[in-house]
Amino acid sequence: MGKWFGPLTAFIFLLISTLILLPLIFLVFGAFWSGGPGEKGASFTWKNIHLVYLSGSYLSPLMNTLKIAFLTMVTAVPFGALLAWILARTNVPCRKLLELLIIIPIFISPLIGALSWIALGAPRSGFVNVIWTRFLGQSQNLMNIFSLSGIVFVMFLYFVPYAYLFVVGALKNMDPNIEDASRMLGGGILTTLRRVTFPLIKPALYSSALLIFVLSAELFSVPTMLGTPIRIQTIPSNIYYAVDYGGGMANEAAAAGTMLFWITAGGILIYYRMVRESRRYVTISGKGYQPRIIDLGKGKYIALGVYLFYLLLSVVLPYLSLLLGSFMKYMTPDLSWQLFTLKNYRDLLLPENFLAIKNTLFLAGVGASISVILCILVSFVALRTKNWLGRAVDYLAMLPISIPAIALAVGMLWAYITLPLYLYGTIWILLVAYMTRFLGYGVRIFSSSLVQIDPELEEASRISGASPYRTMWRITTPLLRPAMLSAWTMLFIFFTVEISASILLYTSKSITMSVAMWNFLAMGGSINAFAIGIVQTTIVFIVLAIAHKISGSYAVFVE
Amino acid sequence: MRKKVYSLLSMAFFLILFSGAGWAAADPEIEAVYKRVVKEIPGVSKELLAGAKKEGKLMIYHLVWKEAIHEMIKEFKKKIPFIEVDTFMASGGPMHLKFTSEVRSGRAVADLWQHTAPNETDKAAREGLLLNYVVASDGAFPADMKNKGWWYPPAPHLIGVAWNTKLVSDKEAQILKSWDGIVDPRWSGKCAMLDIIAGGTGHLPYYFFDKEKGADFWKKLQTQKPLIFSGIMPESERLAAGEFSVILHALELGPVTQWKKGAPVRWYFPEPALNIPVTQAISKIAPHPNAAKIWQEWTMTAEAQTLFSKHTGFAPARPGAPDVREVVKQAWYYSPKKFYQYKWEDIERELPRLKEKFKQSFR
Repeated sequence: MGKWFGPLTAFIFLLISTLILLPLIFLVFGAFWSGGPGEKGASFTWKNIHLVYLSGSYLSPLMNTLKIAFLTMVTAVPFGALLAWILARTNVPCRKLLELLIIIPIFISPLIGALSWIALGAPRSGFVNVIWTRFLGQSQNLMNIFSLSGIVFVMFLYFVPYAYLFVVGALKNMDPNIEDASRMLGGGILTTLRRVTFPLIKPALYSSALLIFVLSAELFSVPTMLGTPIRIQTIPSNIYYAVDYGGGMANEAAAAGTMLFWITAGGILIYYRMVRESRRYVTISGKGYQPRIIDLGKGKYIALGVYLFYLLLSVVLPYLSLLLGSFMKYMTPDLSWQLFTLKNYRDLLLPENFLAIKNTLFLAGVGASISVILCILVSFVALRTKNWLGRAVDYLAMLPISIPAIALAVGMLWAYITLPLYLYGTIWILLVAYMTRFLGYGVRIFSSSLVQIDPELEEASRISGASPYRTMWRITTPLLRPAMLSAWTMLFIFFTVEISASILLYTSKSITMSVAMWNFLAMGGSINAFAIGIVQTTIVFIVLAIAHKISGSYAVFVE
Repeated sequence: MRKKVYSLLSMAFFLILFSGAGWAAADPEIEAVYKRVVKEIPGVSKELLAGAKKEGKLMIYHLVWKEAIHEMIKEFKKKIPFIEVDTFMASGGPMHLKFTSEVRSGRAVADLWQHTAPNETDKAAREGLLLNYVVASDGAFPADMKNKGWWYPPAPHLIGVAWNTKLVSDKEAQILKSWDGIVDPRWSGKCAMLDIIAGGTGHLPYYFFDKEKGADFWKKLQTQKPLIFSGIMPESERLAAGEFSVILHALELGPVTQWKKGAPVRWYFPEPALNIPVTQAISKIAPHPNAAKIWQEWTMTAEAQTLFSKHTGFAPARPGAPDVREVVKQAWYYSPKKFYQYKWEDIERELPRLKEKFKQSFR
């Protein structure tokens, strides 16, 4: 194995080292430097590191970041897992439709989600509160979105589908005979869930928990929009301020980026330890099986109610608020006919917005496809190669996850500008940046699926005379098909809504929908961004539905 | 023999040289454009036009006013048809980072760069990232609105006090004509303001409050319990929605954007008015320096300043340029006469202390 995979492992190692280490080196350099690369008079300094680590100014943002990430994780993961179990293993009505709808919250970027929830849940002017107080006669507001619980609530709604995507694959891949055995021995639904199902889906739960913790910790849009009015600062919001307003404070952003690195790197190490323990839970063996559906009786309607309530909060209300806002001249709860306009949509009919749609579809479609191939190779090398290079590849792939997106984007900008790379200024630089930033997420999806595949299957192939490459192509890859679909879908969405790297690396020729949305937001406020948000969300939904249908994998995804 | 060859070669050289010069001078398009624009854009010469024609392009890194820039480009193209204009838009911070990083690494992409913080543009000039080019209209701008040759202002950033007309009566609003009016107890719990770390437009008001209004004013400001916003657009949007009554210091861009949409917002400029010029500079390594110089010359004319003002909603930066905005026709609107004089170096020096003070008071 080692002999055969030597060149592949070396190639993958070199490739991802170049992709990942270059921006990271520039970022770390920036943290210890008093200016940008090549800046006259700039020199080595401890100032940024002192400010971030020793001055105490980052202590409160650090605690807030950890609190928000932890609360989001402990709420989103169990609920996402519960929904996955309901949709994958129970006879809840309209399962196929519900499985399709549950990933919609991911299409609405967190930024747009925050803006739409401000329109809904602002204390005096939010639609929900206005209906609650003016029309239902209540004296107190129903909610205040400008609060810690408001931040966690919006992030919870957004991250539940991530937990769902991770866990549903594991549940569908699981041999139901194991659960049947538990029930035959007298275990009820809850006992079987706790004693059998839960341990078997542990790798997927850990993966989703890690992903959600890290994504929540590095997310700047929701805590910045909802937390700033009530003085809740987080590390990403400080980095955002340093880059977006300071310009010259990019070095502080670089130093702050390293702070979050230690936290997430620690999380990743814990994750590896947990996954190592879970590798004994191999569930895909040579035997064929069909996942068993549990009859919940009348409980299926309660399960449906839970699901629909989540859908109401995560999709229906924000989407309605987006839709309503996109037809308004300005945001107000005092509705009147004079308030409505098509101008926000007319503003979109600029050639550059069509270019933005074309570029986004290209980057998301081609980028996600290339990334899926790269992620499979990286996961395979990381899990099936028993040498230090394999382990190094695994750790390297996870590194970009540890750095807040805006800080990583600064590292990328410095690296791509300084080095004589001809990609700078082209659309390809965005593709490289996206692949670098999201490699670790794709790899985790494949890794959590790959640990469930018994290596005996691959060994049987090789004993029959197939080369490792042929084994990977003919045996492993087909078994990874559901994971490929999940990864492609997730990466497609990530690439579509990516903003942090795009805003620093785009040009007028490589503008994307997210950048256009950001620009609209900066120019005219959220209602203009709402219009493009509606277009973006709808396009992504249609493209994904078509892609899944055409590839025939739609059935795999839904079934 | 050798002498003859040299003579012939010299003659040939001069023939080519003069015929070339004659050709350049006789380029009918340049002649026509020059005749048309020489009065409108005083600083433009035939040589500049010939150089710009050869370059054929211009790349402008501009701030978040795409519609206004598109309108400006349309007008510019009518005057100078042979320059294709490309643009890149971003907010101040990312723009600063991208521009300075590109120039330092020798990547000649941008010709012109707009920024919101004059101190950062001054720093870029000192570092050698900018081209010094004195426009013909230089004398039309006061010293605090330019850095001679290094940058000129396409627009000013005026800071006032904004309110929601559904929540604040005209009578009540009168007290907002003075800075002392913003600390009136009636706004307590019903107001918002920008975070000090939100760029230059956040720095200047707190510097002014601290230095000029004294400790008592700051204490009263603290008791107003304002909501703190990270940007002027979300803040103005919430004001329009009625989330709070007053923005205690608002960049005109925010309320004017909402007002143009019909939102119930108005604003006054308490005096001394706070003003930060937007800067526009030419890159030291501009790939199209002649085209950049023509744009710089044109945008500092009274005509272009009025046009830019009309499409952005800002007042013109050039004194005397006609202000044709719809808002100036409103009875309640007035332009400030007296401006606060300050030095950015002083603000920068005080900033760490002010940030800490802000943190203790409002976070």
